[in-house]
Amino acid sequence: MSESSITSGFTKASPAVLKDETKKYFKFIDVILVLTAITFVELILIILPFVHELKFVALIILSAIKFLAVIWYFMHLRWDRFLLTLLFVGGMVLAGGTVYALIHLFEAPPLEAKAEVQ
Amino acid sequence: MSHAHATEAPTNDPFHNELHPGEDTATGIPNKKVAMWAFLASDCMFFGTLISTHLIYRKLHPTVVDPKEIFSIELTSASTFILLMSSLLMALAVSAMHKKNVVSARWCLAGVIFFGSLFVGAQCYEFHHFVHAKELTLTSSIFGSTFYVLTGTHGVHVTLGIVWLIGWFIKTFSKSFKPEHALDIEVAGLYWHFVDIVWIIIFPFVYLIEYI
Repeated sequence: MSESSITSGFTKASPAVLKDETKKYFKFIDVILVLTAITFVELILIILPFVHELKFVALIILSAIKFLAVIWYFMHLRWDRFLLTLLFVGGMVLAGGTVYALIHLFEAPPLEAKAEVQ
Repeated sequence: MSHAHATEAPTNDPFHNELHPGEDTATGIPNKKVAMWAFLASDCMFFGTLISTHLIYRKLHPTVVDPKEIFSIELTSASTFILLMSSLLMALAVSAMHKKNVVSARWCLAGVIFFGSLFVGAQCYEFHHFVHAKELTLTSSIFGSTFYVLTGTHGVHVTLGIVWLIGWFIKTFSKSFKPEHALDIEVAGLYWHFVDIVWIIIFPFVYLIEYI
């Protein structure tokens, strides 16, 4: 880092921090390459002649990988305290449960239709 | 909270004291960061209900409209790449702040604002095209209602993120900009990455799913 890039009030970061952040820089580049590649795969996947269910499951898996890569690396959960992971996973579990409940709630036939069948 | 107690709290980050001076807490995590993660966890539930509402009504009324005739997958894919690149730049801005390289952080923030604005611009163009060329409005069908509410809410989140980052971009030129503000950039970054992960879910489950 050049001296001119240090704004007044800012002291130069310690060599240990600089080394750590440089490592993270290369990690971030790796992650973005993987994310871009997965997005290409998603786009190619929809035109491939596979069964719909297989494509649907593949889309779920690929988007889950992208999701996890962003929160783990870009959002620093890998380097932060586990409490933050717990906090976010708690929200995700509640959100996932809500989605699951809503989808299954609307899968049930209306009461009138049920009565007609009986 | 006593300082002695605070310093006993373990942290996974060996550079915590250097990166976040004066942010010793009982948990070992700056309070602003905990608050942002708690907000993001609650926002997950918000978007979870919006996404499931869209999927449910899409399943209950499958023949109302054919989204394949409406969507432009090329534009949406480009928007996805734009948002991914903005996320990389945001991570690099936070890293630059940790290195105390304000000039680099400023350039990265400018890049995030640029890519974010491109994304919002593409979404505005998409909505305009859908309304005027495809006659899909908020009230024309249940598909239009759930689609616009979901993607519009995400767009509003992106817009708020851009406004927030513009504020910090301007602040970096100020003499009152201090090393302590690295945490604020980090918190804004968390929000920005969150809008990216929401799009990571919306892209396949609202757009790509229509093509399989």
